[in-house]
Amino acid sequence: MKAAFAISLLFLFRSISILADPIVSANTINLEQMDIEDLMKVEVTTSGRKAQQNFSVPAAITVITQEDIRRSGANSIPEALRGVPGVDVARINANQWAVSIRGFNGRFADKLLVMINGRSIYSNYFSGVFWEEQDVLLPDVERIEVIRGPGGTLWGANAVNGIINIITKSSSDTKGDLVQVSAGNEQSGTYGFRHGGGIGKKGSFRIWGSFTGIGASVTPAGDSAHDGWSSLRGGFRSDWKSGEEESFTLEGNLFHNRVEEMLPIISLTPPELKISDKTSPMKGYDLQGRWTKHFANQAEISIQAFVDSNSMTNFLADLKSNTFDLDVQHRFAVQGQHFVMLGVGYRHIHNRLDANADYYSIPPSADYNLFNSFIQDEILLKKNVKLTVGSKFEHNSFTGFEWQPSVRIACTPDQKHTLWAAFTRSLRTVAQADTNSHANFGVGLAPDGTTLLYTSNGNPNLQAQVVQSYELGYRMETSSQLMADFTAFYNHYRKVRAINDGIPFFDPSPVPHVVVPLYFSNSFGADTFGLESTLHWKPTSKWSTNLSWTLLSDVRDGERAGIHVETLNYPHNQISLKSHLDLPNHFELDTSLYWTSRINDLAVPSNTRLDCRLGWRPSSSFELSLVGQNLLTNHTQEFGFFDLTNNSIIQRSVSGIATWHF
Amino acid sequence: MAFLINKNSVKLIWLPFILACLSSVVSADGAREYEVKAAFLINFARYVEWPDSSFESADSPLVIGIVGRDPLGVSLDAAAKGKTISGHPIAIHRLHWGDNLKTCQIIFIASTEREKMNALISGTRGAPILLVGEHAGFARKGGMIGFYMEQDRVRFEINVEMIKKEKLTASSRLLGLAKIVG
Repeated sequence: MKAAFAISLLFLFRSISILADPIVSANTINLEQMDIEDLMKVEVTTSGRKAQQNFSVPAAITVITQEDIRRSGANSIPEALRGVPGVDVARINANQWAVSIRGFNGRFADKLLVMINGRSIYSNYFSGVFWEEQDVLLPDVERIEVIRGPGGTLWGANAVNGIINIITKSSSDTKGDLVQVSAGNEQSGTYGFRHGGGIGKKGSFRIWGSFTGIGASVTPAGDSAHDGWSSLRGGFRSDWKSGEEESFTLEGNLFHNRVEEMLPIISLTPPELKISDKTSPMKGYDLQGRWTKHFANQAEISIQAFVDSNSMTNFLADLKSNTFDLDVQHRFAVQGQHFVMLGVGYRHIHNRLDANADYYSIPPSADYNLFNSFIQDEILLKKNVKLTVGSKFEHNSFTGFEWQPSVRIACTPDQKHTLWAAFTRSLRTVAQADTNSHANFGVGLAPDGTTLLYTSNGNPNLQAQVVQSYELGYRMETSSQLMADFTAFYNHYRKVRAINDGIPFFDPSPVPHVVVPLYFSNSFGADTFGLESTLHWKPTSKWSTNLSWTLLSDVRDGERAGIHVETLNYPHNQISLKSHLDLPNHFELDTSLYWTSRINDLAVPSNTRLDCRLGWRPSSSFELSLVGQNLLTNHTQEFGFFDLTNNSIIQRSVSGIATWHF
Repeated sequence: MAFLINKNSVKLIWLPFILACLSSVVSADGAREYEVKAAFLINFARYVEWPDSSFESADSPLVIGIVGRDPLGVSLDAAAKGKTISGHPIAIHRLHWGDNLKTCQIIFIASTEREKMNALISGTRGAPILLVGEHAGFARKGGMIGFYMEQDRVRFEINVEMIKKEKLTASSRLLGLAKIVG
């Protein structure tokens, strides 16, 4: 481990000497006196570009660009999210990830809103994301916006701890063909292609497909973790423009995954716990359309609709979910003082969970309706002070009417500093799994030898979980080379889901046993507070670095008699240091070093991870990358046993990626 | 205590960064991108002709409006200071939403305004305003002049069709340097 660390240091040292070559300094030249022909010859640095986006936004936002993704060597969306301040990414095993923002992490983390092009992709059943279900062709991603903290006013329920919005490129930017092939020791192979072109003068399209096969990892004991998987995907996107005023986008995707999983089988006859390692299919499709029209005076109206259907089958559950969603948004400016956004939306959800002895829903299928509307006004108080007030109003099938207001203020005294503060009330609304699910999740023996069966049960009277957030942020960009961003927050959670003991009862069949029913309740509360900081420094046009540091802590209600509370599952401390270096002869060297402190709730030890990428781009149409992940150790554990998932050891991986554009 | 860093290995993580900070003091740098873009904007004013009707009088100012977070900063003010274009002094206005865009002869749309770009383009339709932007493909997407970077140099594309449509005339000297699109 020390040797590898020394190598990474050496690379950084080398970078310093390479970059000391002075570029002809134009600061001494008087640009205003130059002819336009001479201006064309001036060499410039384009540092700090990344920072300029969203500079005056009164929220903690980080944007991951296509370039960041490409240079990270990431081969999936969760891997691309590593190193974003405030975001905790842990790979549970080869096919599962735990991703959360500001705590409450887990395979079933449910306080995050995740979207692809505005289409929400968390499972309606429990409000969390199956990350293995979601993917896109990574070269098609334009950017990923990560907003930490609540965004319920604009985005709606579930955006309690943050929002991740994956935005893909317009098909007008992906004309031509792309082929990407990768192979490595952990990944048996990934093949991706895209073909794009124009349709007449006003339209464009692309189609894409990909196949990924990932081998099984090992358990801490050294056995196969039975977590290998494969994923076959495809999709299209088409964009149309009618003049500059109107645009229309239609896109659709299909996927079919085969996922090996180890799942516990609860049995009343010995052995009480067996492990099944069957292969489960996950499949689905979505279709989405969006129409936008611009009017004079910077007004805009957009209408978006999507359908999303997916299913996953394993012996625990056969879960099917269908969603239809329609959203209308209107924004306009009033007298240069107000920038108003209004919206209304409707979502219909149909879930079906087929009966199974261990895990079922009563009734097996259900329909839910969600109506929402929001209004937000960005008010220009003074030239440099912007106040944003708004609220989302929502009516859902479980808890009726809910509201989620926010007040934000941003001050940008000169173009180099932004100071912002926000207060938000947001909600994690109730999902079907909270209200009417039933699961057998453990068997035990009472002191007198009676067999006990623990069951968890939904609670139809469960209420929404509420969080009040106070945030304070400061952003600065003193020169185009240096950008810093700091956010402090305090979250006050109430009515968080806990599990209460119910009244035990006797059941004579199939063998005599006592059922101990456990019920969801709203009797947990916690306060979290933390600090997220990023320093982005680009000393020359050929080298950029990014340092981020996340501190998080909490005060929570303890276990009380008869009440079992949710764990927060986060590391107190996370540091990431990234370096992107352009070497001579079209080589690129990218190094990411991550340090994560111990996750106390799960007894996961502190972790240091080094990822490296050596890229070679002899021309804009061809790229070869050698990517090493988790280079410091043979194997590491990033997350713990949790819920129904099995954790495994994440091994060192080395892979090669070749990309052609033609 | 868990809140604090107490591992020696963590201190090491900072080391390359500190070293790198030191190195920046000695490394020289190129011109700032936006100083060059500011100088280009003044040149666009010089090499584009507006119909007479777009100025109130022969000596009324030629207004360059900036939309979005102003990356041009003082470099544009400095570049414009004391300059006149065919008798019109150059004035720089920072625009906010809802401001009347039609008082401007040139509008520069900063990259921060990606979301509002289309709204801005359609909001100036029918007025002789030179729209300059820096988003990828700005000129192709209905703008007039779009900056792009090539080999660490600032380049620009011109959408000739859009320029003609709004009754502006770009000089051949300008067109000769540009990549023509649209």
